[in-house]
Amino acid sequence: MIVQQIISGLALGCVYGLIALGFVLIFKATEVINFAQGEMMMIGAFVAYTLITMLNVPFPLAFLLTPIICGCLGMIMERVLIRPLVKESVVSIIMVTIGLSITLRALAGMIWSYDTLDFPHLFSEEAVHIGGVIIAPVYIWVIFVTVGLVLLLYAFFKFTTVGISLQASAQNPLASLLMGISVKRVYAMTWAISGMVGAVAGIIVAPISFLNCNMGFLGLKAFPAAVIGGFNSIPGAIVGGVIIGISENLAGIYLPLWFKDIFAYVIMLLVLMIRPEGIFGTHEQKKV
Amino acid sequence: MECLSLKNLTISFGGVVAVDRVSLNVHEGEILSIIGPNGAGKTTIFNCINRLYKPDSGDIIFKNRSVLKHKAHQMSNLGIARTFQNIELFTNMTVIENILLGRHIFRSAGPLSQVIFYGKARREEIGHRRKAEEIIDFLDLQAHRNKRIGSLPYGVQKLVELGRALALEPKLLLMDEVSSGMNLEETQDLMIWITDIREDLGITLVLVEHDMRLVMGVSDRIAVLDYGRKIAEGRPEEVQSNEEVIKAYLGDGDGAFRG
Amino acid sequence: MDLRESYSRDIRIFDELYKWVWLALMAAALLIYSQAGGNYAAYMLNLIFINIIVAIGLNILTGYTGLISLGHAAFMAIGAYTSAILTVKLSVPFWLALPISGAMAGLIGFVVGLPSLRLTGIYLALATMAFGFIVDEIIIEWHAVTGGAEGMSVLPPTICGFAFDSYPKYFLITFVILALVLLSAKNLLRGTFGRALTAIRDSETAAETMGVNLGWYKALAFTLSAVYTGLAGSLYAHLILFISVDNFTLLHSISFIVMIVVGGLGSITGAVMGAVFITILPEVIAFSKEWLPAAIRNAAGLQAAVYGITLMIFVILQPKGFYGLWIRVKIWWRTFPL
Repeated sequence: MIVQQIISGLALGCVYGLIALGFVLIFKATEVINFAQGEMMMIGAFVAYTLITMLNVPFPLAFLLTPIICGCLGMIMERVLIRPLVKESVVSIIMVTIGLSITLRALAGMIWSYDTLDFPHLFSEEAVHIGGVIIAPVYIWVIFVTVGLVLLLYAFFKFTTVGISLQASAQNPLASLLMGISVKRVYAMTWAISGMVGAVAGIIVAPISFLNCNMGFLGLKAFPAAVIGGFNSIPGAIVGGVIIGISENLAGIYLPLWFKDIFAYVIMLLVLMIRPEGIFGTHEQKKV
Repeated sequence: MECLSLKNLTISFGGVVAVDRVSLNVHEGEILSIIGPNGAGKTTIFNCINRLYKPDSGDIIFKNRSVLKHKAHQMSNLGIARTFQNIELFTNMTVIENILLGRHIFRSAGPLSQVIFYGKARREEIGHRRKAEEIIDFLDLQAHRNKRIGSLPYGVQKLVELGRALALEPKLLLMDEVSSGMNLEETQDLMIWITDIREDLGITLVLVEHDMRLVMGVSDRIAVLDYGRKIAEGRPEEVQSNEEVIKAYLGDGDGAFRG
Repeated sequence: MDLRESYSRDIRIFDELYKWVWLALMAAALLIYSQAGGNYAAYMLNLIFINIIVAIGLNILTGYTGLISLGHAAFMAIGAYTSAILTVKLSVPFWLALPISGAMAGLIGFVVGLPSLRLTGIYLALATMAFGFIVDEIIIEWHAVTGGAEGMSVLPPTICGFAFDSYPKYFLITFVILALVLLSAKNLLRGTFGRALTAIRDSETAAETMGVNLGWYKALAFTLSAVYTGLAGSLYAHLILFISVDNFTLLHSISFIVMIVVGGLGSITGAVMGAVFITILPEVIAFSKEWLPAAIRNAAGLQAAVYGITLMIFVILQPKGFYGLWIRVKIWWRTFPL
């Protein structure tokens, strides 16, 4: 029973981690906190749903198309909403992304209605036996996709020119500009990648959770994940997400059920008090 | 009488020793300039005195009391004021509001009086305004009284910082590169103000400066820092002809570039 | 050309007498309208005034001190529930319950504000958001005291035997409380306290050097902000006569932020404008539904979408809010070449 909870917590944690990854990418590159990351996940799930059920697109194709669509959406959002605010204060940027998240949620409600939709099941309901443990195949799918995506991103950042230039811009925009890297394009790319990551998160979470326009609330749990892992650490985001996912489920077993809902936030508060940088994050101090 | 004493002050950041066992005495009522190449640790020393940084070892004695026991926001109460190299003005406020903030430590009206804003709080506020106006007169900032910081030229902003520090009525004033960005005329005005501050207001001054004309013109004594160590200290003429100082600024005779 | 001849002219709230006259006239007009304009108008006026108090409270924290709070609805909830529990379960008279509610919210605000020294920007926003969730959850679970998820009924207040059981009558209370809040806030903010707060917002380093104890003032900012918001909560509870957790969610906290951003951060006039805007907006939306195509008109999320879009537009295009617009209009008026 406990192992069950740990596995499902691990899977959900992977989703939290992916959303947190989306935040952290944007934060590292642009110092912007994207409150709408959860909504990007929701849009990904809805787009995939529409492709598969209404346009009868086969799943593998939908799996490829959705991130591309959401990536473009991410770029549009960056260009229209974030670029004008490049020099503004943290408060302004947070407000804009909050506004974005509300708007996206409402628009999704208008387009896809407020009912909970049924995401097509791709795997049989039959559980699989692995090493004496019973796991539903969909969880394996989630973990598999997450690991794959993280490896892909790792390779991207380490080995491709674009990836390296993204890192450079994050660390020193001015120097990157002088080196010929188009910082504007970097910002656009970062939001595009975040959109794609969010879309993937949406596709894999829909079968194990629910699909309606309030899904973005799941995204709120990604904040504790990012805080625990460290806001400027990419591996930290996934680690943080997994920690949250697993401990939430364990809390559900040992503590009264109502506590489970806010458990993630209690942990986040504790981490903020004791070590705001999180596990892998770094602390920056201003020089006077 | 020693106003300020640094005893073997040491602080490092991530393995780099920024200030290396610096000992320095500042006499009461004198004008001491600290000079040295960039990165020598001059501003870091100010930040330590100010308690914005915590030194690794050593002591800072102000008026016979160790400063290290106090927190940053208590330093102004002790009588130490400073200006900042990169200007830390309150950008969304006007010049007079910035200077009025220097009067913060003189508030004494209780919260209730402040809420009703009658009697004591009101009289206090008027008193603060008067004091702020005196400083504005002293530094010739009348034209900029009600302007927001953001709209002011760099040199004027530096003066506003100076005015804000003066509003604290300090005993010791640390001025960090106030003359940077000023032209010849402004620097000459500054030199007059510096001597006036010492003569009329009786404040001890420590300057961090790069402008040699200013330094030679106003200083009683000069201390020279290089790579975090004090390499010379004394009257301007002595320091000017000190070999180590010349090496630090101009490099060795064999023409190699340093560091 | 305004020539100032004494320092007291510098620090007056309104530098010209005619502005006081305008204010008095407006106040009189509002009072008359509330009594004679019908129930609906009185209700809206009550709601607007309560929102103004919230806006002032949040503005002190976010506009003046620069600290973001995404959980302010929690303070309103604390005020509302404290007042409800005191009056309904403990038979405390309203005129006592109201200040106690404010004090209770302020106390919690102080506790929340103390650790805020170590948290900046986004971290503080997240911490306050978590705080909001936790308070909501506590309200739901503390069934015995708060009525849990089903909510709690509240009675209209009576003072000295006079029952304020209609909206026009209730407006008299709201009016007085708002006047007190406005006066006290303005006084606190135009003196040493207000300057210290803005100093913290603009440069913490310099503020510290000038002797401002950061931790203390940040905690005070939270406290004052919470007191005002708690008072608003109490007034709200006795206005709508039934409260539940659904009145104090994250979305409400966000709508408070929309209020002060749209109105103009860091100014009391801005807070007033923002509050009026947000309170009237749902009515405007409902009103204009006739002109909208059917698909948009019937959408349940229309109001949320409008909030979101408004917030984004204002932050990007008009960051100084309505108040900024107002100032620009005044300057244009004054410099008109005639």
